[in-house]
Amino acid sequence: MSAPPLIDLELRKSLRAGARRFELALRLRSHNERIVVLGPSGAGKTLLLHLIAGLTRPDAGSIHLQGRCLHDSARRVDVPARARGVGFVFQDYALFPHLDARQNIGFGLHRGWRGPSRRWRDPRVEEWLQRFGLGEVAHQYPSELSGGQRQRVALARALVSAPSVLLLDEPFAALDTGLRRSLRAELDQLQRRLRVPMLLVTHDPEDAEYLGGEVLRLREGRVESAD
Amino acid sequence: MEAAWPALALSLKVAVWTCAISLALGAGLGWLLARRRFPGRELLDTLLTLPLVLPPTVLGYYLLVLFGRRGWLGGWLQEQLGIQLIFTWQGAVIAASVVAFPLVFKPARAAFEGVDTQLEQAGRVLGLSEWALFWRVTLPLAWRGILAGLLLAFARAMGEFGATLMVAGSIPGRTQTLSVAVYEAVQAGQDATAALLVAITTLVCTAVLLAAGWLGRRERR
Repeated sequence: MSAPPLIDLELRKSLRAGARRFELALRLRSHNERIVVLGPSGAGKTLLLHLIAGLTRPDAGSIHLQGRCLHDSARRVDVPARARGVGFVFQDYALFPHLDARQNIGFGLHRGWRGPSRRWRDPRVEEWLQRFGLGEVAHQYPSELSGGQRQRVALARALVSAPSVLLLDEPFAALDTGLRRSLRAELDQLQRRLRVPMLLVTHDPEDAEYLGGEVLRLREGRVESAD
Repeated sequence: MEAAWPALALSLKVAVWTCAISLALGAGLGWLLARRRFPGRELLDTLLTLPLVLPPTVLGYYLLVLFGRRGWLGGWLQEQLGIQLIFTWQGAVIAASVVAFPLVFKPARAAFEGVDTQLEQAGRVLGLSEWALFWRVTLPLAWRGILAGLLLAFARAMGEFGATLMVAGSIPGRTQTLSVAVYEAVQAGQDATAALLVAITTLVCTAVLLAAGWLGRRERR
């Protein structure tokens, strides 16, 4: 295959919290459009996503997404988080509590010091509201939304600017079993349709089973075995 | 009697300037201490909070040492720029600012620390610069705490006495604020003037507290 791997990274990062020391050291190279990183809590899953998104700087290593260099310690390249163009769905969604659903989704489409107002309309945002059935609650604040609606808002916010990769941190952990199943199916179809490369981390083997793709097991900062 | 209105106008002017200075410095330093780690951070916090517990006369003494004619900064300002701060209303602003600043700084730091850092990370990933992030995420979420401190600072500046008297003196119509005028009136046995000044001060402070309560309720909706 001549195309560069979708994801190609080699990272080392050590963290210290009191007497406890945690070291992440891994290599990951894949052409698969779907990667699920499976591991118990404390394995370094969230840290891995933060390193890819540029929210944490690795001690050493490099990150390439679709051939684009985002970080290379040796060459002193470090693209800041705001310029990496990745979509990120945080574990508890990190929706902005002072903005309504529509403003949350459109947040990244305005980059200046003033965000979109409540009356502002953008076809890209309206399309996502329609697609996720959020039209009725577009003017509601995150605290007024249900768990499933919040998750959809977070997903729409990450996807509206057409990111080069979608990173998901335990996207279903906050939901009850029934909702988890239906949203898993929704994500599955969405990813097939949009063909946006996706890296999902989870502690739940069912997520890995259902979403398939390439499954990596992470334990104590290291990849245990590749399926 | 005629001393009352200039004193009220001066007190309001000093309080407004004090609020502006306390807001800029208090919010700026509050953010810095909440979000950046550097050596001596807690020592700096302690030093900045000190005016809250030190007697205003002690602060007045420090300010005289600093800004007086032979003070470190005072001498330089006089020589280089021809500025004299002692016995001016600007001096009263500096005195009130030192006393009232911690009332903004403390709640501002707490408010910024209360903003979930994950929200700031979300903003970064969505393409915002640090500056835009501050205006669009951090400040809107911390604003209420800062505003509460700001109103306290306003009330404190209106009532400032000790440091103001030492730094700005008591020149009627020029540096004599309401609280200083009350003291002068009582000393001179002008009971009617004192009563009027006290009534005005009480009214203004009540109005500020009512405004604070109203703003708080409106914000909460």
